Amino acid sequence: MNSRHVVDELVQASQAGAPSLSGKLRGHLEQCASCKALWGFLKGKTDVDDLPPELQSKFDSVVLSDLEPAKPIPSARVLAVLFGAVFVTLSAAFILMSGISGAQAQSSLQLGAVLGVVCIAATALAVWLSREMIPGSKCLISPASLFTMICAGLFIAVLGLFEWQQENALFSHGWQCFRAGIFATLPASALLILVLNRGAVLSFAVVGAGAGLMAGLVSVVTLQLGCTMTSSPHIMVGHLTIPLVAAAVGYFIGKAVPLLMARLS
Amino acid sequence: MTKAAAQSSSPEAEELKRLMEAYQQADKDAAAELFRRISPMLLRFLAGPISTRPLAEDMLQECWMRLHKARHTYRPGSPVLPWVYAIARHTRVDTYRRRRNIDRLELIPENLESVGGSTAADQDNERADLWALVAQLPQSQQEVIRMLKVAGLSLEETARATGSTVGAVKQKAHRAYGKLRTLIENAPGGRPR
Repeated sequence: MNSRHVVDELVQASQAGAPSLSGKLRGHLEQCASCKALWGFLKGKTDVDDLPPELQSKFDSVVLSDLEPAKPIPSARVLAVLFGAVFVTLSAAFILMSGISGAQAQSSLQLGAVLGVVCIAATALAVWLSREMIPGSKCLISPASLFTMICAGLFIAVLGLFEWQQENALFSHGWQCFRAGIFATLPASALLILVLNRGAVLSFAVVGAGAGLMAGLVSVVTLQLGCTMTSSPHIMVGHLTIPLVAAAVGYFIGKAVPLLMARLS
Repeated sequence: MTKAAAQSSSPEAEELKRLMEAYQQADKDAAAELFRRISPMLLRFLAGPISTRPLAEDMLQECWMRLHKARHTYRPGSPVLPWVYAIARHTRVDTYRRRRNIDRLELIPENLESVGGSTAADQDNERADLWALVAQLPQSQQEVIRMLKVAGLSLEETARATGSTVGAVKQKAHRAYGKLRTLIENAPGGRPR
């Protein structure tokens, strides 16, 4: 029998509710260990159907002994609104502190485009983070694609709309904005972690990167409205590196969390 | 559990939803029944090419602790199995990662056969063949095949459990079948390499 036909028939048979094989295929399975093994796998035929009694007693003692009602987590939509509220509240607070002198130095197109990209990015991250809190939620977009699109959107908007001016003190000016931005990122991260803590995050590293990126966006808004320097190199070095750095830090912290938890346990 | 039974609209799936909601409300009978229904599926999922039966049981225990801790994150009315398998999947990954670190410190793989009483050669031939075949697939493909075929999840449920899209799951399954075909074609004497 052709192996392609064998595999196809085995897969089809395993998908049927009551699997049945042709006589020819049954004969083949008697002789071919590989196909027999594949058939066993597809049927889920393993020797693990019986549960050990110790497991049952452990479940009884740990889970059933002090079982208490658990209030279900709010829907992903409500959680997304919560993330959005954190973003808007902190952005507003930092804008009040730093002022809006930068907004007057930009055209409405420049300001609208950057703020538009940031708002779309924050909304997308809020939706994504809210789903990451609930295991088994529907995945709309892969995190890698989402992060790439957000970063690309920001850099393209800045490169396309802001003038490229050579600066002598690019890094010293950039460092000042970066430092101020990181100041805004820390409380945002803390609040986002508080919200995330209500759910059951499974991929700590990826969610850490997402939370860092969203917290970094708070500082982008604040700096975009508060900083009067409008050259694209300055915005890229001083403003847009903050979400990137925050995402990287969030990723590495997220990587460390399971290791720390394992050590502690 | 068959694939059809795992569909979110089937009576079996509806019963799981009811049990899960009752478990959230601290119904001990529902919790025990859920444990009885889900554990064999989970044990089958957690057992794999590089896990022994005791390790799979340890993972199952760990998995139940995580499910219990995260029970508030189940949304009433939503399918139960993707929620369960998403947590089980991460339990497995974390355990393997931990084990890998421990193994690296304790033993080199070449020495394992001479130390342990239970090796692949000692186990049932069919099981050894099965795992030898499946173990050659990349981890992500093995996982998708196990969820689709062993656990009987639908494409949509598998996508939810693995945190990916339906398209990505289809692609992985397609590649896995292709690779299995090739492995069988290339296996000398009809046995996997």
